[in-house]
Amino acid sequence: MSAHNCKTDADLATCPACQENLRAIASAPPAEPEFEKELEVVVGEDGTLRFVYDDDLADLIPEGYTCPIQRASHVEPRVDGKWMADMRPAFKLMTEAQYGAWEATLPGNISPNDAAQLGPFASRSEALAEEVAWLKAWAGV
Amino acid sequence: MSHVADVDLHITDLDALGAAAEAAGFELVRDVKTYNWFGSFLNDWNDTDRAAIHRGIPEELFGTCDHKLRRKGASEGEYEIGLTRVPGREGYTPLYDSYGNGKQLERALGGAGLPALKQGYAAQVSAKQLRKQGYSVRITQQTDGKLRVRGSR
Repeated sequence: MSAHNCKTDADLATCPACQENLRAIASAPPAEPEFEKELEVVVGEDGTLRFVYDDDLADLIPEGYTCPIQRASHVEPRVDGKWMADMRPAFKLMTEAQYGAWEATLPGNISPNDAAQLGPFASRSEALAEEVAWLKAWAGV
Repeated sequence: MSHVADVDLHITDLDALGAAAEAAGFELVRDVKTYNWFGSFLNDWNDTDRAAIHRGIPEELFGTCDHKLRRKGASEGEYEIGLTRVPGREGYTPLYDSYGNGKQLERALGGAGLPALKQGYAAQVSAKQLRKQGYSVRITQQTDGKLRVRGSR
């Protein structure tokens, strides 16, 4: 809500506050392109693929091949409506080195099981984003 | 000496292989029937993990191919990688003579078993799949040697 009372183009053209806003908009750097969706596949040195499963990547699993798809985490609501990401299932997907690197970042008074409970988050989408970020950072996906 | 190595890779997408080869400094030569190797089989390699003869590939296929990979700027006679249809296997199997100047092939493609070719091929197949779904794709190499294929749309 503006404090002044510009209603027409003529008002805008003579209003210092509106003119200042227009100059600020014109000089702002262009926004980064926003993508609706991003997917990543990590290819190991032996050619193995590792990715967070998405139906758009399903065809990477050739017909007739078995491919281990394992749960890496759970995102669940709490009774207060906030969301938690439980990353403990990812432990079994991590190499010893990956787990060790993550564990080394933990303060001494927090157990890995507690530290792997991310949240609370205000929204499910925020919890899902943090879940993926954690998997990328620590579990090599 | 003839040490024909069998690479654990079954190629079903020649375009993806061509892109991976290009990135590694090789070229895909399509529809050729022979590739350069020692030229005769002496059966003097007993590595059961790598020697093609011990991995069920019949001797008569050595030196024959459907397509091949050649190092860019290769000198005449330099060993090449044959892409050969092997009965009972899907797609094309890379076969090459790992002895003599075949070691240059291995050095250029990450060592025994040509891991850089496998990795590059897998990345190109992934990229192609993403592009098919409308993603724009970027492939980057991580500091740990892994390739990250990122699709955005």
